[in-house]
Amino acid sequence: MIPIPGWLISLLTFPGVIVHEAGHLLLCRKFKLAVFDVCFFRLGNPAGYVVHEQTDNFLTIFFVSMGPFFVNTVFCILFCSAAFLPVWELEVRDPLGWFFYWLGLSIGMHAFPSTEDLKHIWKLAPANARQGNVLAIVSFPIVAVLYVLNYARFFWADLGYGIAVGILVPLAIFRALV
Amino acid sequence: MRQGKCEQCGTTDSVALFMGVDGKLLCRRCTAQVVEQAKAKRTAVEIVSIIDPTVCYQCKADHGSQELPLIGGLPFCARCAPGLYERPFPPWIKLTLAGLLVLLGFALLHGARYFKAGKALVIGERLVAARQYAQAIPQLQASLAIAPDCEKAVLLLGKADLLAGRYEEANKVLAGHKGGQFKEGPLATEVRRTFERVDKGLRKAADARKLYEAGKSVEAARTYHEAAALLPEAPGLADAVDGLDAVAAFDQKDYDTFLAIAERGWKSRPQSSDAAATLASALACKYAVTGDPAFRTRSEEMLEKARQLAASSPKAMQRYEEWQERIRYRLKTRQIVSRKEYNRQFHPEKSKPVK
Repeated sequence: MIPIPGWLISLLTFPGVIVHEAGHLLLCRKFKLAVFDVCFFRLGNPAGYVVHEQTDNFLTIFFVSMGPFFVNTVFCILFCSAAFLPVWELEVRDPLGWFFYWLGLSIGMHAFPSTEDLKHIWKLAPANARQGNVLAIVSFPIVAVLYVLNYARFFWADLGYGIAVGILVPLAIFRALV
Repeated sequence: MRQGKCEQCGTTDSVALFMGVDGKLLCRRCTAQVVEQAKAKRTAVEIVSIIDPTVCYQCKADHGSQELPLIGGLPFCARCAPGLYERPFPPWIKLTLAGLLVLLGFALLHGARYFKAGKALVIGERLVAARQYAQAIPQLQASLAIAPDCEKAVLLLGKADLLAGRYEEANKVLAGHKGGQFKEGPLATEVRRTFERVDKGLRKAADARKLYEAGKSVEAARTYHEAAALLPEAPGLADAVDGLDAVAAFDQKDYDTFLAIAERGWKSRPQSSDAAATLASALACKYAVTGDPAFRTRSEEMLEKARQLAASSPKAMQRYEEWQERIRYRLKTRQIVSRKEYNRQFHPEKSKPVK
């Protein structure tokens, strides 16, 4: 395992941090949660944060916590889709292609919700699932997998996720379109 | 504002300036002392902030004895509370996100031409897999026009060219990619093996040509058969093999074989003046050795067909004229002479070496 300081990884992939926190803030505003503090990027741990009010509304907490995961994943797929053909399939020496790939991977790498975000969902899910909330039921496996992946960040699970999403999904989209 | 009293030194002040230390209300000075003592004793101490519910957490405005509503456990005044729910995006974030969207649009536009190249590559690959080599070639060429260094496209185009019998084009495209160097892989290995087979076949064909020019028609035909076996995809090679077999049979005076080959050639190429003339020649040979007038009649019919078929092409007509003169001589005299001998007797100017 290559030990690379967290601040360096954050610096190299800063667009992902910014998009992640902007996604949090946007969803807090959308679901009317009070926001006490925001940091879009810094050289520290965590590299960015949004301190917001807690709620017992499962839908709100699910989307506020998981929203950035979906937003970052979609941006990762879109940027990598534009760049994966010249970079991986066509072997074109195109600096712009590589730039877009870096951008896509940077954003994809920061898709995972924080452990704190997952804890909030995990805390509310059982009661909501008992009441027949489908989203709460569906959230169990998602949160469980993301929880494990979050701890596996030490083994570059976040980079692995970015690469997987940035290659496999564009490839599947391309194959489906051709 | 609520007042608090330090439980250690008795100081009174705003409660917001106090801390909760292990369940006791202490001023900041006493809190610092407790922390130092705990450090010296290496014991843990629990410290919590004390929130004054009458002072707004954000603007610090004092509301006297009025307790403010709590949001997320913190007191906020009526002026500050709405702002928490509509926290604005800083201008630099707005600009960054707008820039990101513009970049995304540009990235998708930039990728459109590569999408075309990728699509052509996939279609070309599928056509090669379906052995539709001629149809695959323009697709792969279109892909390479945008991505000239794409090794996969180069190898597929090389393979399609080779298996479509376009050997020169294949050599050009494969040799033109990084000096003919490719990363090891199943496709590269397959193309290399095909290229080696074709190269061997072309050498054999060249050898056959030399043998033919040296008058060794039997050896030339045998070598050409070997070349044709190595180059099954070469257009017209099977006909050329038949042509050489016919020459070899003629030279060996095996006129039955000559006739059989000529019949087969005429059947497979009913629009060819050369095929008709070859059959007329073989029939004339049979007439010469058997004297059967049926061979003569049919030979004359085939000559007429050869003339009709050659009428549209000056080159074909030129070849026909040369054939018909010798065939008519054969039919008239029942003597079979080679072209070389015939020219020596009747067209000495054609026998002279060209200076």
